[in-house]
Amino acid sequence: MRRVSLLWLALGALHGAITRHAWRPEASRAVAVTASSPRVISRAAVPQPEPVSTGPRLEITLPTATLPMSVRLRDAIDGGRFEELLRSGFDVRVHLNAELWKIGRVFNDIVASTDWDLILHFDQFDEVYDVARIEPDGRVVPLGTYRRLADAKQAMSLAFAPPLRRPAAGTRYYYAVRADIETLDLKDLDELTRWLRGELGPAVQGRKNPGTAVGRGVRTLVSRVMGGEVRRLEARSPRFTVSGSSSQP
Amino acid sequence: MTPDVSTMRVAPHRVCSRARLVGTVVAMVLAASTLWSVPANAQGRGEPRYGAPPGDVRARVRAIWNTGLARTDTGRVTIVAGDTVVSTLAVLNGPLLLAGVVRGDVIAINADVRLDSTAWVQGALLVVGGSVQGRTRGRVDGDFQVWRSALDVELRGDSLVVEETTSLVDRLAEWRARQRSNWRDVLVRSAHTYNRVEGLPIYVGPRFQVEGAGTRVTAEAIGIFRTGDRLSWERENLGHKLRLDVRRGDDRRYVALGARHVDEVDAVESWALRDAETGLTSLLFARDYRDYWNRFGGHGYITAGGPHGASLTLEAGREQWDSRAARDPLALFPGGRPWRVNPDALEGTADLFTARAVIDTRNDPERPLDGWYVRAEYERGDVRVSRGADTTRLDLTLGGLVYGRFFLDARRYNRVAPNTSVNLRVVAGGLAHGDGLPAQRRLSVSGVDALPGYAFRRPLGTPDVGTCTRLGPADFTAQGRPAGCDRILLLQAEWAGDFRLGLFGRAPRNDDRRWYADGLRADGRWVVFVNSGRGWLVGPRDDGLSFPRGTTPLFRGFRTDVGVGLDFGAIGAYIAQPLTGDDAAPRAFVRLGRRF
Repeated sequence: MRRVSLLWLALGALHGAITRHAWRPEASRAVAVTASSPRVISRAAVPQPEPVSTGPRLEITLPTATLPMSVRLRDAIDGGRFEELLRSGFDVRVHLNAELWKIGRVFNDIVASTDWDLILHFDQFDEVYDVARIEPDGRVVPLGTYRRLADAKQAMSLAFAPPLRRPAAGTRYYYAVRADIETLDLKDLDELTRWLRGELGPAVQGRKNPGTAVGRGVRTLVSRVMGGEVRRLEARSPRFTVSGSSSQP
Repeated sequence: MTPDVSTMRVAPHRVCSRARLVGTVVAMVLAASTLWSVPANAQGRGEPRYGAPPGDVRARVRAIWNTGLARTDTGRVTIVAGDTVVSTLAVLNGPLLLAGVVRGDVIAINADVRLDSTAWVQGALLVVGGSVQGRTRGRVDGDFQVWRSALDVELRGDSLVVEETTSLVDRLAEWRARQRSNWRDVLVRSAHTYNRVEGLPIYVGPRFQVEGAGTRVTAEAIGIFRTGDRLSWERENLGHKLRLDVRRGDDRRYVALGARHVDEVDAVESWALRDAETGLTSLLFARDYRDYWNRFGGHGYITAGGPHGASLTLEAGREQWDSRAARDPLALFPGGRPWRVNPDALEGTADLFTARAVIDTRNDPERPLDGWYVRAEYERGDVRVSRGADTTRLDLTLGGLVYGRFFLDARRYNRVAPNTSVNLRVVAGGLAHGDGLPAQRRLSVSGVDALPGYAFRRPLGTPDVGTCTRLGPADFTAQGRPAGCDRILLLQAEWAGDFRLGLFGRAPRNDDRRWYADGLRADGRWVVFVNSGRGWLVGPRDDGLSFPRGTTPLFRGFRTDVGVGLDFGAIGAYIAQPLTGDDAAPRAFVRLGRRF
């Protein structure tokens, strides 16, 4: 019984510390969210954000009366081994997902969700960096060819307005965006299939070949522990309410 | 050729100079097109823009170079102070060092530009694929745009050809075309995962897909080779999997008809752990948490699929079932442990009918925050037994066995706040009707996935509600500690929220950097969980292990544990404390991915 009591004590302490940490106002303030039309979007007791951080990060811009919500992924491949792997022929693939969540009485519900991809490819013959975006409808949109990696990174950080349903008036919402940044060998089309479709679905169903389960487990484990070629970013906007009339984008 | 009279003096570093006479007509033409479209990422005048240059910019570059009205140069070009170019100036590859005056426009293609304080462009300045140094020093009267993206251009004689797509776009388009078209290849990959019965099973064989008019035909003829405990070409190491699938519709709504014939090893309880986890613990520590048996036979099936990952499959077939013995495959750190005995299976010929329904509305199958995942299955079997293998109860003899078995895995993911979620899971399964379940179709509530506070299939107390065994410890171990329950019920709940740690430096709070190593940040989720469940036998009520067919021993004799853990996405570390039973020691464990 003493062990159980200690466990519950630890549990309570952990929860208290975590809850305080998670809901401190500054935790929200650091979320790089901009709202250029406060008459349309009102945020719940959150001061004006200050994008203070550097390094890989996601930024969410709330929708206004005239502009849709947009997402910007900054410095996605800074740090780690992405650049080294990129020059070795492993392209960088970023899978992004944006969701609009509605805050309910008890549970939060997803109102809309969409996915898109960014691909960064180093052309070793011409020594240029190609950037492309695969939009939610499957269109491949070129984002340019750059002689300098710094420019290619800037192209990757261009804001994108995912086609999410516009929030309705009078309800509290927030956006959640996540980005999975991974190295990718475009020559392996089966792998590309898996990645573009969002990880393991085809493999589980046996339609495609993602490699062995053991190999995948080892690779994932090693890459996570070594801080290697896999990175996951998440960002949430502050809660907001649309006070004007809503319209479809 | 127009005589070169447009410059007063030619720069000494110029590689190629083809100046052309340009009059006011050209200037008017160019002026008419200086209203270039403003891109989404436009900043101030001359500030770099990213993204592929729009079509009108590309067209303008092409037009100016190829109309023959501008002075065109390739390579390094210098216009010194005091010099005047009276026409439009187009430079390819550059750099362009401009200190003089250009009365027309300046277009730099894949070239950097340096403007001195005396530089004066009386028209527009367009740089594509380069940068501008001294943006605020020189004077540009017209529009001033700098696109950092290079153009894929080629000089063919005097003509400039601007390619419309990049190699990356071409390759992605090729991939997308492949997705929509027919393909064939040879598959070489491992089957499910590393285990003590097969070693590493490897699939090798051809497969193809033909698609047209909304119908897709997929066929594969896969041979299975098992590494076992030695690489040898013998019957035990060989298997196959043949499949033909005809599917009509798209991913959101489809009907599929198919047939398959297999000779493969299957896991008895594959619901409990992921393939990767089972394979890794086997390969690393000689701990295999699954049991296996061999299935040989054919099936036909029909599947109807709908939105939200919903599908219903009806399947019928005949199989020959056989036991499989554990072998001695390689383990890296066995620690002197022998492999666990693989329990005997009921052997015979089985006529099977299976109905399976799946609903999956999760927002993210790997890291769900919202939605349902429900998998329900009913299996009816009619087995002509050739060798009984009832390792926990001796009520089966040679003859026939008819049974019905159900299995339900229902999960609900709820986000209760932006950084907190409550997730629930119910697993129930077992005998629906009939004489009893074959050994390989029985279940247990034990192990890291179900009740991590309790050791894997270690009988605790009497009766043992985890494995439903009545055997003594020695006999139970000798038989491989098989799952022996006719029915199980497992309830799981977890409360999880985000945490962010920054061990070195100030940790930005607006992202989630799981295992971002250079700053030693390890953001993830904290998890508090509780699990409760048990298994039981169907039969006359006795010592708390056996209950009549229509009875569910709800919360009677349930094993319960609670725990906490940190989930870093791909890997999570947890500790679980059993609340019932004699063994009160907490247990630490690791999962690859979320618990459920």
